Amino acid sequence: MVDVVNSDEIISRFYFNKKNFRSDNSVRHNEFMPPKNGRMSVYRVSGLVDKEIWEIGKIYVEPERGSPIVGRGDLDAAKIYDCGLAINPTEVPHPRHANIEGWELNTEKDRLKAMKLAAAARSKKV
Amino acid sequence: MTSAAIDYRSTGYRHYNPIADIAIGVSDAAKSISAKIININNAKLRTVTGSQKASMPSKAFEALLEILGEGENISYAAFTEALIFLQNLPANFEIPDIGVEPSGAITFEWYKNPFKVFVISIDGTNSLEFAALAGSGNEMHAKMNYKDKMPIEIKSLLEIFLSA
Repeated sequence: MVDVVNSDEIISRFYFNKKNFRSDNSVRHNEFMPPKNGRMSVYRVSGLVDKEIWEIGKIYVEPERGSPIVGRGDLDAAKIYDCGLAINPTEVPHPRHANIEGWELNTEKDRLKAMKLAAAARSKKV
Repeated sequence: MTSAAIDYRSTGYRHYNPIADIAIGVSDAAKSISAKIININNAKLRTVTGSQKASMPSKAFEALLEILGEGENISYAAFTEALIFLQNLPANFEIPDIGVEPSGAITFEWYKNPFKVFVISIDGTNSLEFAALAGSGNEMHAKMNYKDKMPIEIKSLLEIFLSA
C-alpha cells in the first residue's frame, strides 16, 4: 500500500456495540469517539470485496478487541480529512491498517467530529 | 416520609419512580448500584417541601440501568448525574436515546436524521457537554458547568432544535 491515504480511498471502521445502531441502520457517534491514546483504528479497504473486509475484521480486529464485531462503517477518506483529521498508515497488524489521528483530545470538539464521521459513514451490520 | 402525588409526564411511556421502584429484568450488579444510588440521591431528588419531583419515564430509566448492567465503563458519579439529568428533564422534551462513549461518559441523543442530531454528554465531573449538527453549515458545541438543571443556554438551543 502507498504510504499516503488518498482522498478517494474508502476507509472502514469496525463497530462493537449493537446498541449504537439506530432503527434506520445509521450509527451513533459513540462508535467514532477517539480512544484515550488518540489513535482510532481503521482499515483501507478500496479494491476489496465485502467478504474480504469482514475477514480482516474477524482475523485482525476481533481478537485484539476481545469482543465480536457487530458492524462496520465505510467512509470516504475525504470526509475524514474534512474534519481536520489525519489518516496514518501503520501496516501493523495488517498492511491495510491505519489510524485516524489529529484529534484534539477535547471531548466536546472531538464529539462533533465523531458525529460528522458517523453521519458520513455507510454503516452495515454483520 | 411524605408520599406525595407524582406528576407523571405524558409521553406515552409507562413512567417509573426511581425512588420507590427497583428495576426488574436487569443484572444483580446493576440493581445493586442503582439501589445505592437511589438511596443516596433520595434527598437530592426531593423538593424543599419534601415532595417527590416528577418521575422519569421508565424507558429512559431502564435504558440507563441496562448500560450499567452490561459492564460499561461508567462511573458512579456519571450515573448519578445522568439520573438527576433525566429526572429534571423538562416535561415537554422528547425522551432522548441513551448511550455510552468509550470514556464512560453517558450520552443523551435527540435524533432527526444523521445530519440533525443533538447530543448532551455527562461524565460525572459536574460539567455538561453538548454538540449538535443542525443541518448544513449549522454545527455547535459547548461545555458548561452542571449541577442538576440543564443550563438555560443549552435548554434554549435544544428547544429550537426539537421544534424545527
